[in-house]
Amino acid sequence: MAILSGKHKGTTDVRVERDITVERPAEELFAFWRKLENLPLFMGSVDAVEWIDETRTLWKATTSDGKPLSWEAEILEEKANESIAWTSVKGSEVETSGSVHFTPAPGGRGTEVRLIVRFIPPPSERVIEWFWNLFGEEPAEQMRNDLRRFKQLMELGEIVRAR
Amino acid sequence: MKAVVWHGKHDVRVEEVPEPRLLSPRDAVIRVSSTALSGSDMHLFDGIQHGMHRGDVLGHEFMGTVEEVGDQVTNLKVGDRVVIPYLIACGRCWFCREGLTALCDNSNPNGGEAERHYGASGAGLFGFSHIFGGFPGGQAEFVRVPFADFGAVKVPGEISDEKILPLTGILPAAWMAAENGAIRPGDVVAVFGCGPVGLLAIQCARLMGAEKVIALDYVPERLRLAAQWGRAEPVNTEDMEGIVDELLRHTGGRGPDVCIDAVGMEAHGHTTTALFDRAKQALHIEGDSPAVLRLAIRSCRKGGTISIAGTYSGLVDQIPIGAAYAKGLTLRMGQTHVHRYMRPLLERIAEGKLDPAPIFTHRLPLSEAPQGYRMMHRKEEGCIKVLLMP
Ligand SMILES: [Zn+2]
Repeated sequence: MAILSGKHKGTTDVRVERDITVERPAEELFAFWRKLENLPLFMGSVDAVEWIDETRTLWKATTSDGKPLSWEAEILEEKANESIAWTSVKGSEVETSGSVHFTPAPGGRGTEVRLIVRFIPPPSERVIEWFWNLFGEEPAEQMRNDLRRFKQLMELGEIVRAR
Repeated sequence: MKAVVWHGKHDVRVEEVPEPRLLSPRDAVIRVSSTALSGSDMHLFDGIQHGMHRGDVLGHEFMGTVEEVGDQVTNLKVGDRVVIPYLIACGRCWFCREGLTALCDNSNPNGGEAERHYGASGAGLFGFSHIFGGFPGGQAEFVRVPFADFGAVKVPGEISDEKILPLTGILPAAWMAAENGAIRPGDVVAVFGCGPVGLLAIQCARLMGAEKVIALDYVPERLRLAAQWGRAEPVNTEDMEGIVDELLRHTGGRGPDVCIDAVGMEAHGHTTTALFDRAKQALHIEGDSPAVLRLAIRSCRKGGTISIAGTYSGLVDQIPIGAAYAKGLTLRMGQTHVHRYMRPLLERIAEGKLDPAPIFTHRLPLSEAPQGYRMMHRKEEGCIKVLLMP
């Protein structure tokens, strides 16, 4: 379930949490996610993730008026086949942290995936533009679609397109 | 190519649009031989379904021949005659494997929005609201069919399009409506609403052993067909007041064993208040309120089953849940899991046990689609369902 705490546009944290069940083993999902460069394949709000060194990555996005936005993040913690946690480095324009968790589902139904993302204010106008315009009225919706695309990619090997 | 394009309320046009192309290795492109107008198309025509965009290509009921296939579509080849389910299903997720293809987890690219509206997303649909993916439809010369390796069903050349085309949705919907009613030989089945699905559900109920079928509608022509095709006892619902009593009179005071709601919301508004307002105006069976569901609950036999085949999409007011509880009723409902019914129903059509063709009362070239929409919308000239040929 999605839990959204905090006020819109800013003065308190925006925390979005969402679960989805993916019919693939946790090891496979973990391995795919651990290659953070894969994330833009299904995350609608991120253009690219590039590795800087073994734990640090450069995340690139585009604001609604077409201007580039980027921030550096590092992997804080990981448990093989179970979870990965990351955070933006101090002083980034986008202050964000997140984690993903993989738990085997009952009845052999694959893996329960939980994604938690937090944005820490005060964000700049540019970040609001990017974040809010993409997320629309409900920030959880973008994450729902991100996770649904992740599931499609893992279960079908492709992301479904209407046109 | 030519296609029927949605422009807004009561405004559909036949226009030139780009031809579809393969977007995935599991796609096929179909050259459409026949396509139909459906009840949902009338909702789109009325502009009551939100999430439509100007320029959307309409049509969820269509069939034709394979024009092009993706690399992974090994079960079809160019030139095959096929019929396509109106809903799109991946064939691989848990729901698809369980046969619940209307609930496919993966086929709606806008599933996040559907989840926001309904708490969960079902399958993507052709030619419908973007909440269900916004897939271009088949009221066109060509259409792209996603997951064609799973969805497309090959059909023999000797059976006419008119008999095959209802397999895209309405015949499976009618069959599932009857199946959800758990009809047993000797049962009395009441079918509320004698549109295409209701009329076909009468046939299906008969095949499942219903001894008596009561058909309810307010359009005399539809009641005539219900009596003619399904040997149903017609009940005109012009006066809603007496319907429960009427059904009790037809059933020795027991009430029908099974009630099929083949009307649904037929809403003329989707906001909560609009629905509440209109619920008070319930005058006709094909109204704009849960009137049918209320009647079904009030009239159904103790321990009976109510099968909801008509569409509901919002909130409804004043459902007599106390009566449903007191009588121990079973309620079943949902979008049709079309894929699992297509082949068995094709067999019954081939054997001559089912003939859905008479449902098409009007045939028009695709170029005259707007006229077809108006005709079916107003139920002019006894119009029940329109078939279009590109
Ligand atoms: Zn599926």
